[in-house]
Amino acid sequence: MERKKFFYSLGFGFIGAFAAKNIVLGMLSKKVKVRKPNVVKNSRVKINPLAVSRNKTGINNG
Amino acid sequence: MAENFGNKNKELELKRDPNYWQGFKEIHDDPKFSKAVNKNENGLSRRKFLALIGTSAALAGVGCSDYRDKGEIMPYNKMPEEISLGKPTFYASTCNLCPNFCGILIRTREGRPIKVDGNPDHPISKGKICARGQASILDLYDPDRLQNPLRKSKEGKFLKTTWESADTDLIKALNNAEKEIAVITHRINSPTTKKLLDEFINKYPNTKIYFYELFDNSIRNKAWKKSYGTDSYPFIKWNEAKVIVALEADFLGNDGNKIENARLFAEGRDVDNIKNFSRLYSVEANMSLTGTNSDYRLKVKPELQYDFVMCLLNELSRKANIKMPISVSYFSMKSFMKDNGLKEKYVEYLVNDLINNQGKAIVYAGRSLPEETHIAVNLLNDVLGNTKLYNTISSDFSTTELNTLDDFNKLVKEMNNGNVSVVIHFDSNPVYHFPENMGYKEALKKVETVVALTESENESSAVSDLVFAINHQFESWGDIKTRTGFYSLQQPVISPIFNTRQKEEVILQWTKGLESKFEGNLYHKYLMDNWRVNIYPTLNSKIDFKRFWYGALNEGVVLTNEKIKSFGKFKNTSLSGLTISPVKSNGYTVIVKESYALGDGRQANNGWLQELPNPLAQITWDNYASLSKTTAKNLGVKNNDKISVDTGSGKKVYPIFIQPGAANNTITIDSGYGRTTVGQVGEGTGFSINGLMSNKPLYTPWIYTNAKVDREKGTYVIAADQEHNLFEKSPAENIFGKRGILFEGTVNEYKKNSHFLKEDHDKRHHASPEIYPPQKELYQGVKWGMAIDLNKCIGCGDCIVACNAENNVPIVGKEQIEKGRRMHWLRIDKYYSGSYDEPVISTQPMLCQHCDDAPCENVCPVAATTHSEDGLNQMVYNRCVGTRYCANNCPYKVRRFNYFDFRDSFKDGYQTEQIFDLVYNPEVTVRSRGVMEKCTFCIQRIMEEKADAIRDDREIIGSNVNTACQDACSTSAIKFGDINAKDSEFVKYRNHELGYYVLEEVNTKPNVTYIAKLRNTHTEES
Repeated sequence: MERKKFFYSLGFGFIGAFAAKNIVLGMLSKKVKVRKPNVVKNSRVKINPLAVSRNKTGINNG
Repeated sequence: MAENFGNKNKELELKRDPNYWQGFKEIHDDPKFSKAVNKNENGLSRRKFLALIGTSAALAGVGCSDYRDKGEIMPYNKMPEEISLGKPTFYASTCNLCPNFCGILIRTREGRPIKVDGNPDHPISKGKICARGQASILDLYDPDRLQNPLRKSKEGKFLKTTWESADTDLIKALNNAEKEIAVITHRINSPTTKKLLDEFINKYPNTKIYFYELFDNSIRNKAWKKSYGTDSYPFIKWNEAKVIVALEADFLGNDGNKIENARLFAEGRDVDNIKNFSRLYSVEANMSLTGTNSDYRLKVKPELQYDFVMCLLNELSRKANIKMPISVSYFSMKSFMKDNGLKEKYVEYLVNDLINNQGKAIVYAGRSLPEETHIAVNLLNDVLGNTKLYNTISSDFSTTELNTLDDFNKLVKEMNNGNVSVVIHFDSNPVYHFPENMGYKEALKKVETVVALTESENESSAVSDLVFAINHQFESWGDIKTRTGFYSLQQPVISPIFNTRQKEEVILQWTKGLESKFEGNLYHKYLMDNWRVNIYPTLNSKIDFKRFWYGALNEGVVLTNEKIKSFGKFKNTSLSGLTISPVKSNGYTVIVKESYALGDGRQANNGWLQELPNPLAQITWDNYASLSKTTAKNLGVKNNDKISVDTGSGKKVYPIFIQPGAANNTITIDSGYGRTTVGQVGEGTGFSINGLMSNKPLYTPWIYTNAKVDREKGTYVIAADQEHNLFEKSPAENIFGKRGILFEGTVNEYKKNSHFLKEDHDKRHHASPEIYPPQKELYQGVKWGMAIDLNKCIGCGDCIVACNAENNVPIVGKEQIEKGRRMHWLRIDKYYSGSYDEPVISTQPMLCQHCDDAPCENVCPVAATTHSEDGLNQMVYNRCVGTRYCANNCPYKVRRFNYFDFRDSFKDGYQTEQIFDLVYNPEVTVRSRGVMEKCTFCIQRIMEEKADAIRDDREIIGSNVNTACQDACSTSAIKFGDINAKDSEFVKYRNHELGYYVLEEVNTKPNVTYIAKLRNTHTEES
């Protein structure tokens, strides 16, 4: 029974934590609707090979 | 428990026979034992304890699971030749955000642009760039940018489409267009883009190209052409002028090339060349950046500027016997001064200065004034011989001429008549920019095909059928010619981040037609071919084209040997239409002005610019109707109340701000706000002006006389930073003067006695007791310091944006600004003196003073703020626990606290979008919630110099380090270096006779020196 109780409490703990995180905290932070129309995933950074780099100062720039 | 257990043992011991056992069953089966074991002293069972631990661990695990994914660190498979890990790479290019087209230098780290500065090799910008240019880096990584071409569905929704499909549809529409194809664009200064558009016209002959700008020099240029016969107004040698008279002209703000104007103006305000220190008169209706920097300021409504110039001509004719080719006798300065409440003494000074400085003075009329005022000013400069101050080496160069409002009225008429088949918005937003009463938006409904080429959604793309997502300027190729004498080149420093194409590439593809397949680098080849065939041969270069081309891209500019035509003699025929008698002005006058931060509004989704305080009123995130105290009193309104403004073309409601120094009965409103189709950042900020503007303006497109102004119900809170941390109770206290925050003098005082400030200071200053015993061994090596010349600082705020970009300063939003939670490490303080109606304004950049005896350091309980051996007041973010004691104890109020993780709290985590990570400077920590931060003197740049010195086996050289604000300052008002390098230029400023420390009485020993401002007023005035 004790063991059972332990798992019950663990289970309830998880459910409680899940509920607290997703419902209570969500309500508190007023994030009712997150508006991200242009969510950007996997943005690429690629150097343009045809551009010509230089020094900052302008001296010895060829 | 022990007792019970003991009893059991006793029982076992009593049995004499050995009773061997292996297991512990007997003990475990004993209920008393079990009870004793399973119950600790506090009553918490072991099982419960474990359950609690388990639950806590689970809770902690779930609670902390939202920590953002840091991504993967991947090594370069094949490292690009030009990249050294950890070292920035620079590219020269050209900024395309306004018609000035300044040369820029883009700093990239591991392939991503992170900072924009001016290109030192560019003959105009000379290593400087304005706030808008610097903030453009944020536009590149804007999550609200268009990522694909879009097509409008039948339901009116925009859906993603492919380039091939969008191109095919548009090319078919172009081929089938029986009527006009209208291309609407901003001014184009690229010879190659011009050639491209000409080819487009050849391919589709019913095409007409229309060019416009919301603010332009067309009136000034037209007047010049009438006066001298040449095309455009010359540039002014501000540095050579002894007297400058600005008539409704904000040449230090947004009238002309601010970067060049401010640099030249500051050259003429050099305390070390005091003999040639210029004097600035500003004659204007509302306060401008130029007005705040003037030595004398006169309030004149814009419609009376013409009368004022004619009165000046009359005075010159009377006092100096200067012959006038036009009758000016009807214009009496005496009655003008009386009618407009001008100070007689100031006008007398002005007239005498013009007479005594003939050939060394310049009168400059603002671009919003009407043609006849410009012609009168041209005459005034001509009769005084001031034409010597016109630049005769380089002149304005334009590949195209801007269209007039009449041209656009005709276009709208044709659209309404069904005579336009296709409208192409070529990186322009006429729906937002054109006067509402033109009816352009409604007329678009009568056009078969409307398309927009744009980086982000805007008001014009919202009414288009197809939207072509175009590259940011840092992803594009180009060439620019704004003046004679040089070309400027634009190159992409990063490949397109999204599925976008360069706007020229799109047009080129349409020109090639359906049969041609799109190839990458289409425009690059086209550009190079144009240069090889058409431009390179004219330059008489001695090197082959390939070497020339790479050299040109490296430098960013190509100098040429063009000579400009002399502008000749003044044509008296231009005077024939001028008004010969004075006018009266009684009603309200509305002035529409270009916003200092947002310009014409194309960068309205840029948080750095929205949060950049207006240099006049320190207002962020909004525009407003600026008016005088008397006008507000007459209307019965106070700050944040609303008024309606009716120019006859439209009526709009604005919140008000009472601007000290504004002329009565004038209302000034900035452009660039009130966008309706814009990203998350610009949404709901400010109020638009196109509802006030007219398609047939009676006076000029930017000035509306006899407007109706009424009080409206309700209020609108505008977020101003001016009164944050304010500790004065009343202006009568003069707390800022008494406590040594501001020291000012006059040029005459300085000429008489260059030590006047030191003497004055010694009289006032009483040495405070030392907190620490003297420590001579400190600061033996390099000691970092800054000097700010208040004679050169014009208070524009370009340095603030530079600091934001360099130091990863977050955007906090309007709500937080209202609460005084601005995060800028550098602020520009504005101080007023004199009366509310005629104030004198002082400007003072304020940042961490890096005090030797810093009061912030000794109150930190966790030593999170400490002092370095080279004199820096440092912040250790990891140690900071956010007590805010340091901010409380800082007399300069320069410490900023992260009340939130502002990246997460601003606009639903807009700054936490993955792409936003690319804008951060990897050398600077991104601060989190609960941490204090402040100016570090750009320590990352100091560390770079230290590393270079170690590598090169040399001493650290102070002048090798430039702070970001210093790099950005167009007037070079900020100097930085090693205080112990006695012969350096910086130390000259540090030890200047006019140098002082702010709040010296508190004896914090700051490492920032201010050079006191000198006003070039007449002796009697001082």
